[in-house]
Amino acid sequence: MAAVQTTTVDINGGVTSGTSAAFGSSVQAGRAIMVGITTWNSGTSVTITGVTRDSDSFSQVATIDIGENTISIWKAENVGAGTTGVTVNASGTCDLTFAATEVSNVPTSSTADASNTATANNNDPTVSVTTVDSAPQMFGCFAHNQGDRTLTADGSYTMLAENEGGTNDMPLAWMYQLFASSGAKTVDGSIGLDGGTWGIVGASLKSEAEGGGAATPVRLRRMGLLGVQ
Amino acid sequence: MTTVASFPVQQRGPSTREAPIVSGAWTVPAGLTYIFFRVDIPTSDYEDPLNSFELIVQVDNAGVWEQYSALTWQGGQWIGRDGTVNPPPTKKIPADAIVGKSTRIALVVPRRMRIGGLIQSEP
Repeated sequence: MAAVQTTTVDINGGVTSGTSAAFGSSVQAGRAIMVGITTWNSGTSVTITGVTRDSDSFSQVATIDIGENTISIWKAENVGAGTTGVTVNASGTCDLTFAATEVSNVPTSSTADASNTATANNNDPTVSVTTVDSAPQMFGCFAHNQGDRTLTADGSYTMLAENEGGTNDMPLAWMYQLFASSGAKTVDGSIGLDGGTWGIVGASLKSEAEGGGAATPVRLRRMGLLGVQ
Repeated sequence: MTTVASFPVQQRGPSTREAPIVSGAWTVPAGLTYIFFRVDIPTSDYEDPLNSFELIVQVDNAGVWEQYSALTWQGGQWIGRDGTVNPPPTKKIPADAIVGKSTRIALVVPRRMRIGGLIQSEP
C-alpha cells in the first residue's frame, strides 16, 4: 500500500478554517500525510496560513494562483498515530475544499522528492515533474475557474478524491500514482470538453519500505475515498 | 437528498443560554456517500463581521463525543462563485467512516445572532 486512506471536506460561503472528516482508520505513526487544497475568494488574495493535525508539522510543497483561485499541496512527515482529521486555516474568508491522504512506504524525514506547477486555458490540466527518487509517489491537485466540470484522472492516475463543483463551490481533483523509475513524470487530468482556465500542482514523495530499505512499487487495487479496499 | 434534521432560524448565542447548540443524535444509515450541512443566516446577521460560528460534527465513541469534522465561519458580505450574494454556508463530508455510528452537530455561536440550518444525507 502507498496511498492508504483519504479524507475530505468541501465548505463554502465565507469560511476561515475547516477540518476534514476524521480518518476512517487510525493513521500509522511514522507515515506521511499529503494534503491537496483549493480555495477561492472574489477579488481578495487568500493564502493558507497553516495546516494542522495534532502535533504534526505541515509545510507547503508548492502552490499556484489562477486568478482568484489558489491550488496548493502540503505535506507532513513522520506523523502521529490516530484518526484525527486535518485542519486548514485561511488568511480570510473563502470557499475551501481539500483532501488529505495517509501515505505509507515513505522515509520518516526528507520525504520530498520533486514538484512543479502549471496553468493554461484548455481542458487538459497537465504538469511535468522531474523526479529523482527511483520509486516516486506522485500526487496531483488541480482546479479550474469555471462552472461545474467533470474532473477526470488521466493515464494510470487514481482519483483519490474529487469535488466536481465550480458553479457555487470550489472544485478539486486529488490524484495519485506510484512510479517505478525516476525522471520526468506527467501529472495528467482533464476538466471536460468545455475546458477553462486551470491550475495544477504535482508533487512527489520518496519511497522507502516501511522499516527501512527501498520500496517496491505495488499494483494498486480499487481505491476510493478511504483508500485501497 | 434526504433531510435528516433541521434547525429553525432564530436568535441563538450566549444570551439564549444555549451555546453550544447541540442537535439530537442520529445513526448514520448504510449506503450514504456524503453528509451535507447548510446554515441559514438572515442578511443583516450574515453581513455583520463580528458574527461567527463554529459547526462541529461529532461521533459517539464509547460514550465520548469526538470531533469528526468542523468549520469556522466569519460574518461579512460574501458573493459566491455563481454571483449569489450571501449564499448559505455549506459543508459536505464523506459518510463512509461513520456509517452505523451515532452522530450529532454542535454549533458554537460566540455572539448572539440569528442562525438555523439543516442536515441532509446523499446516497
